[in-house]
Amino acid sequence: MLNIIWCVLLMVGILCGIATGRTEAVTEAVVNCSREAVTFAIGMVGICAFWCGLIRILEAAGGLAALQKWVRPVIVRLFPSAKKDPETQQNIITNLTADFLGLGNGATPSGIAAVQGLSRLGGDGERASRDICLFLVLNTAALQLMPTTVIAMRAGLGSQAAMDILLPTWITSLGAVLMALLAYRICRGRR
Amino acid sequence: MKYILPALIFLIVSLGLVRKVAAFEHFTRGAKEGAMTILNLVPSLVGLITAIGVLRASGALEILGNILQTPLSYLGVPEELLPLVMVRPMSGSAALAVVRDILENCGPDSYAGRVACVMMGSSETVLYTMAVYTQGTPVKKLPGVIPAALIANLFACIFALLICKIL
Repeated sequence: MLNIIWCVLLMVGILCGIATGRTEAVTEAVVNCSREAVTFAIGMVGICAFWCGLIRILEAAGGLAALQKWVRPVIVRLFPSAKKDPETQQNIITNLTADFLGLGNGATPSGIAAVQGLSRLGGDGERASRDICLFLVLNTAALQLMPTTVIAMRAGLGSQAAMDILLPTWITSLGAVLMALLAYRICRGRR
Repeated sequence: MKYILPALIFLIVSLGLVRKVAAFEHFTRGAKEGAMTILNLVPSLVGLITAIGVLRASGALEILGNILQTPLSYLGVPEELLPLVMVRPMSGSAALAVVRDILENCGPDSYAGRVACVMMGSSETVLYTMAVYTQGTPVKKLPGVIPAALIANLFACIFALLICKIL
């Protein structure tokens, strides 16, 4: 999908540039923006590296285990098919807490393992079970404690109050998680 | 809010000290992973930020903005946000590139800029998650996932618009 969109964006831009007589500006944009993209990414490396490092300390000190203990009852209730499989249960919990703490790619292996486990338990074959779908829906409305990339971006572009978006972001993602659960109930219920 | 990051750092570091873990070693290991995550994004960001830059320089974004301005201004929605709403469920790095563009052009503390940040921080890419997480399983059909995730994304956008007005 992105393959097509990306090509179309560039083609529209170039054609539009020719039509409006801004070919030089387009050329300039290619040179400058590709450089800016690298500076932008490098600018985010610092805070994201720092945050991931911090979370590793929390993990080593047992803080992650404590957090997982708190969410376990909720997860057990949300995913009834994993009730008799502690390994899958643990994978679901690991994945969702890693998402919450903003570990990004750190969440992927446990996410894949969780879906594999649920698919074994569900036994529906090609058609995903209720629990797999719910797990994916929850993942797309992820609640995040510290959206590091967004904060780094704000600080890098000269925000006076880079942290001010935290509270709105928490409220919004909590609302989105609830809406995801509700919407899934409704969408699945029709079938 | 200005206390939250220092407070979290203090708490985590002191917890590490009390529990006698090799805090700095764990920190550097995690920091390496975090750095690699961002560095792995560089190629796609170069492609996407350049594509948006080309669209902006060519005047295409202005034209789109002018068309959308009237209907969206009735709703009080800044027209700059529409590309983000469309791109967010499809690609995380494309959304990041769009947010950057919004922050640069409207300012990070403007209403549009803040809404963009909240949208970015409160939803995840539907299609990517689905493709990656179902790897190695027989699962092909995911009834209800895409509509539910898109509805959740849409509500995240609406919540972001409302909450940034209030807070």
